[in-house]
Amino acid sequence: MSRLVRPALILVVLAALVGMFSVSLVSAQDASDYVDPCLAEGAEAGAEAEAVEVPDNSDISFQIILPGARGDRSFTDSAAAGAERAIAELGVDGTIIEPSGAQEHDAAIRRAVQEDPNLVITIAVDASVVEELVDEYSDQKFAAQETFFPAPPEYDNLALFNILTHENSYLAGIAAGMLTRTKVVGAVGGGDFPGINLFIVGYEEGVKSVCADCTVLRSYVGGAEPFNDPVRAKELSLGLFSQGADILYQVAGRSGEGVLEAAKETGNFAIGVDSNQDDLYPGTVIVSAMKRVDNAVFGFVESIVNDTYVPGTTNVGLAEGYAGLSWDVGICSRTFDENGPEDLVEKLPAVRQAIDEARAKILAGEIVVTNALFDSAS
Amino acid sequence: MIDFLTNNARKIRLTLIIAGILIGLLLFIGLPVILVQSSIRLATPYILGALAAMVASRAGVLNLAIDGKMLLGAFIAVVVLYKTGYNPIVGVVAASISGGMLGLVFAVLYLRIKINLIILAIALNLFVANATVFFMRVSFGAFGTLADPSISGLPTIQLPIISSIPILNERLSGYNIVVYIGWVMIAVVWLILFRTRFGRHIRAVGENREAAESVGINVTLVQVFALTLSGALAGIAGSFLSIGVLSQFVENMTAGRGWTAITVSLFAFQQPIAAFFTSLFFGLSEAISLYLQGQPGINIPPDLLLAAPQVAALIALVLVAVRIRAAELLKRRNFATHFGQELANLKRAVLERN
Repeated sequence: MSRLVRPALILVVLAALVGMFSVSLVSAQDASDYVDPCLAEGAEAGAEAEAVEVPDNSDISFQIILPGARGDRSFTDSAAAGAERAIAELGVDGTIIEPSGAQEHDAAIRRAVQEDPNLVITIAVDASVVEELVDEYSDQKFAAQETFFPAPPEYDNLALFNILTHENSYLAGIAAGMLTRTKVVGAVGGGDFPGINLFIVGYEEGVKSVCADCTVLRSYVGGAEPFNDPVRAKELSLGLFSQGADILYQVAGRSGEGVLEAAKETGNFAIGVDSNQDDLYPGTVIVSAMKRVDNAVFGFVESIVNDTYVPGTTNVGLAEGYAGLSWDVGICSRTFDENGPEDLVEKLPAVRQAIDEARAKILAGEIVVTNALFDSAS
Repeated sequence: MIDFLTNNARKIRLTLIIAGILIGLLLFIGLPVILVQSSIRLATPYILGALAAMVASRAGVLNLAIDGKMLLGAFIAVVVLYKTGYNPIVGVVAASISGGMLGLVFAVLYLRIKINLIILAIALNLFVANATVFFMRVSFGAFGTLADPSISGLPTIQLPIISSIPILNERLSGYNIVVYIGWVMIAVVWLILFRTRFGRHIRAVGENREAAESVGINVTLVQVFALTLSGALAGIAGSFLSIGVLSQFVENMTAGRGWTAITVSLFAFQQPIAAFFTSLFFGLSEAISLYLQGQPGINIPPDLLLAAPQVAALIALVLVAVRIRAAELLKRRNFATHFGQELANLKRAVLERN
């Protein structure tokens, strides 16, 4: 699978190069001497990837429990992709478990522990479940991701790893704020939870930072299946578009498919989440706020292979390269440049420059983005 | 109080119906267009699903497998269109056929092998939910979501005359064909149930199976037909989700709509026309909960707004219960007065003879 992806990636980068040249011809005159740092890096990454030898680590095994079935083309799929890459590149023996929902997490983890793997990775499993099982199976090494404890837990068999996405959502907000034609943008979350508001609050601040008089409409899908009901999400989005919003940021898992479709159908735009969703609807999805869950999963497996497993809590984000935009973080998506409408594509170099400046300021600590997860007041 | 109700039952009934129609019209014209459109779209799977549940229970079979049949319809509609470039209508037809087939299987398993209805329904729901995922992966290599540019959604249709009338055009016209099929099906099911011989047979079987059998009605045939029709209706409802609203199949995308449809049918006392309005009511409350969140001026916690459909359902449930209770009281009282009079007459007659 990944063998196919990489040449495709190079092709995309090359195509993007051509696209960028034609764009820069237009915009080069008007002051923007912005050089895209992504292009050079992207080409290198592509060249590097050719020489990978698969070591034999088949005596090392891991089991990964996904939050639900694959197919959200977002968060869950990203985690699964990381596990698949680890199996392919590290030569370890891995099992990917897809429970049907939160009610099966406990049983799935218990079953995984029975197999006696070197590492059990849980993705977005509830804190109380993780805590109970980590306590019960103290000989089993666990790695938990996207599990938010009220206080950092201390177990010597649990490595906790959280990717915080308020800062890259802020960058996505800058893109939305600069590209909106109507000065109204929106965010669609699955439900009103801190883990979702982490994205939305960051996004709102990003929008406001470049467009103080913009309105940000915030809506949640809710219902029986907040993260698996694209039909509701689509109705919700059509409502937001009728309110004058022209860019929606979706943070709703598989429901998000409905948001993207609504944007496509009404000729508006959307911002993807977690995985690179730019190519799902070329010209409609402007950019995706990426969360490199795949890299984190890969890192966990690598830590077992290299015997560098350290228990404890790690929070990473923009600075460590785990959160970013699909325009960077090793993806270098330029789909919107090629397929977007001209008036917006013309603005992209300026947007990228603003984003780069904001990123530098965030990393330097000059801009502090509200973290809705720890600061529940927002 | 009860005397008042008894004496004016007809007037009260008429007033309530007129008030209901007026409120409905007021909402229909007064609410923003997007909200009306949204409610009608959200109501469509409920309309078709409720009809499906109704046809089955009118024939005396509690059909709890609506959700599974809907999901199968949604899946088949997308599968048929995947990389074939057929007209999306083919998807709707295929969905209704597949739903009907599943209904037939349901009927055979229930009537021939006599599996417990509830267990059978749960098994079918689970089977479809997992089989769709399995085949998506095995046949199409897709994980959880089956989407492809070759799958085209149903186009919207402008109704010929209505689309030129100012207020009605944007509210009644411009939906895809399944919405209109839903409206037509209300009439069709009503006609079948209440205006045909076969419909009388269906109702007779549902009211009293043994009695129907004793007068020579082929009960098995009636139930098989009802379950097949029920499945076909549920299949169409499913196709509305996958190629009507969206143009992709997502694992378990019915999100419990089949169960809501069963509730709608019960709410509506198994009456097609009442089911239509109940579905619209459910659709409207769902649409409002989504619509109000996007209003910048309104500052209500989203969780509270999202609970609106449930609150509305609860209120409706209470009203229905009150109505049933009142009707019962009236009946009992009427019976008592009538019976009392008869008794008195009898007594007088006996005394006179003596």
